[in-house]
Amino acid sequence: MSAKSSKSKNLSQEEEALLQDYSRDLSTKSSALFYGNAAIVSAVPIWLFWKIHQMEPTNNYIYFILGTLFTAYLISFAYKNVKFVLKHKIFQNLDNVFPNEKEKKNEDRSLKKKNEIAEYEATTYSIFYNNSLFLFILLVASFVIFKNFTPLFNYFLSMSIASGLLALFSTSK
Amino acid sequence: MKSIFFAVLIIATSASGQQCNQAKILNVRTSTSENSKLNTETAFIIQFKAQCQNNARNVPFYAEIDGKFLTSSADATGENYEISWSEPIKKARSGEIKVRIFDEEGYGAFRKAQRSGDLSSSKDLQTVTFYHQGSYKGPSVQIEFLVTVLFGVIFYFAKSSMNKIQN
Repeated sequence: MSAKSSKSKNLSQEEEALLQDYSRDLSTKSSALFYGNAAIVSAVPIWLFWKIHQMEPTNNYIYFILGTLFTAYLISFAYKNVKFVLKHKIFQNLDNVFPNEKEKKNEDRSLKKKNEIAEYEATTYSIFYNNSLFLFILLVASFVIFKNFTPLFNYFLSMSIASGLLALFSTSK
Repeated sequence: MKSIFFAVLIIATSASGQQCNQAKILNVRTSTSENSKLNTETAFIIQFKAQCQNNARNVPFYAEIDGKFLTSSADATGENYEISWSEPIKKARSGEIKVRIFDEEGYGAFRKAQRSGDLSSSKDLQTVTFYHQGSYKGPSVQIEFLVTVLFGVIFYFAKSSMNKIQN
C-alpha cells in the first residue's frame, strides 16, 4: 500500500513539475522582478515629460500615476509572454550542456539545473528586449508622431501606444 | 530789451551747436549678441569716450558702416558715447566689421566727398574694427534624434539576439 502511494506521489510530483514548467504562472521571485522593473520603466518617462515637454509633476501627478500604473501592467504582461516563449527555446538549446542525462539518477538534477538556467536567462532577456522596444517606441511617438500635440495628450498617447504595441507584439511567437 | 533777448538766444544756439575740437576717441568697447535662440535680431554696440580740447560734451558723432550712417547717443556725463544698431539674424554677417567714426565736420566732408565720388580725401577720427563670430543657431543635429537612433540600435541588437535564440 505504502509503495503504491509513494509511486503515485512521485508521478504526481513529476506531473506537477511538468505543469509548472509549461504554465505561464510566475514564481514569487520572478513576479517581484517583473513588476519592479515594469514600474521603474513606466516611471522613467515622467522625467522626460517633466523636463523636456514641461509637464510639472505638481499639476499633473494624477495623470502620471494613472499612466504609470496602466503602462506597468501592460509591460509586465509583455515580460511574462516573452519569457514564456524564450524559456522553452533556451531549454532546448541547453541539451548540449548536460550530455550525461541518460543516467536516471542524475536526470532529475540536470533537468532542474537546466530549468533554473533557462528561467533566469529568459527572465533577463525578456526584460532587456521589452525595455528597449518600449523606450524606442516611446521616443518615436513623443518626439516625432505626437510632437505637436499638447504635453498631456502626448504623454497619454505615447505611453498607451508604446505599452500597447509591446503587449501586442509579445503575444506573437 | 530786445537786443538783450536776442543776444541770449544767440548764446543759447551757439552753445547747443558747439563743436568738439581735436576729439580723442578713447576706451573703445564693442559687443554683439551671439545667441540666436535668445534674440530676434543681432545687436551691435560700440561704446567709447570722447575728449574734446574745448571740453565740449554731448556733441554728435557719426559712424559709417557699409555706406550707412548712424548717430551716437551720450550718457548723462556727456563724455561717454554709444553707437548701436541691429540687423535680422539671417542678414547679419559674421567676421570682421569696420566702423569709421566721424565728428560733425568730418561727417560733412565725407558726405561732400561721397557726392563728388572722391572718398580718398575724407578723414575719420578713428576706425573701429571688431569681429563678430556669428550667432549660435543651436546644435546641427537634434539631440532627441540621436537618442532615438541610439535606442533603435539597442533594440536592433536585442531583436537579433532573440532571433538567434529562437532559431
